[in-house]
Amino acid sequence: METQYQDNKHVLVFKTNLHLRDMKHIEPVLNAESRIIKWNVDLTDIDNVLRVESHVPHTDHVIAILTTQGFHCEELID
Amino acid sequence: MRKRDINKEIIIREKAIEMIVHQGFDGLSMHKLAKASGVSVATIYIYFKDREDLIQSLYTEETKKMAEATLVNFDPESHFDIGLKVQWRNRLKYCLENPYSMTFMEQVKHSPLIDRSVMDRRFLDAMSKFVHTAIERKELIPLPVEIYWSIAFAPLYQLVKFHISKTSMPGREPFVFNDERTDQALSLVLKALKP
Repeated sequence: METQYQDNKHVLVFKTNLHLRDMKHIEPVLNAESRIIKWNVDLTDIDNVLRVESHVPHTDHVIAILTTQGFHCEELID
Repeated sequence: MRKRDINKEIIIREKAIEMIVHQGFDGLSMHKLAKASGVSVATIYIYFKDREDLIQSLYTEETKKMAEATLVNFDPESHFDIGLKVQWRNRLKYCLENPYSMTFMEQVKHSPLIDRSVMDRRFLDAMSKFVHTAIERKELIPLPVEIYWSIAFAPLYQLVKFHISKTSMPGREPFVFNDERTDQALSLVLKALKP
């Protein structure tokens, strides 16, 4: 799901299988993505939600990044 | 694409507090919360970064509401007896009208999950001025703040807890708070704090 704020910021929300031990691995990959403003993973909840604030609604691209790294990532639909 | 919906956010906040009050912090999951609020999990993450952010935000918001309610008709320069009576009345009213909020704030007090340093400035300034003016005028004895709070307000909150949870000491009838009992407890508190 993605939502646009008034300042053209998009919030993209994904269900993943990311765990604390994977953070070191994905940090440089997601940080290197210039379209991402900020991101975080809610490790305290069962869906291990990846939340991305972005300049553009590039949902498929984020899924591709995670999948390429060997992780499961699907968009959480509203 | 949708804009933020303030009503949805209010419902999510209310349900989250209810859930924490009934099931504790561990009982709050984004899944259960989404279900109870009638929104999707994805929607919750639009408003809150993660579970921790949600809990911290609940605390900040409830603190603000409580602080505002506490300051109604309160003059920090009034005589200590009068000011404390207004404080008791306002806090009692707030607790009775927002029992979930009151219980939540109690839970928060003893939880490491929450940063409590972000207290409402206006409230802190008013209470500080009130106490220091009263000490200067010799209407109140100077005390370490924890001891002052424990005598000035803890009795009120304990009685409110009895009232809200419809309990009392073991084997006793449920305690019911009324004006007479409020005045009785307050007068003892004032006696203890007099120079």
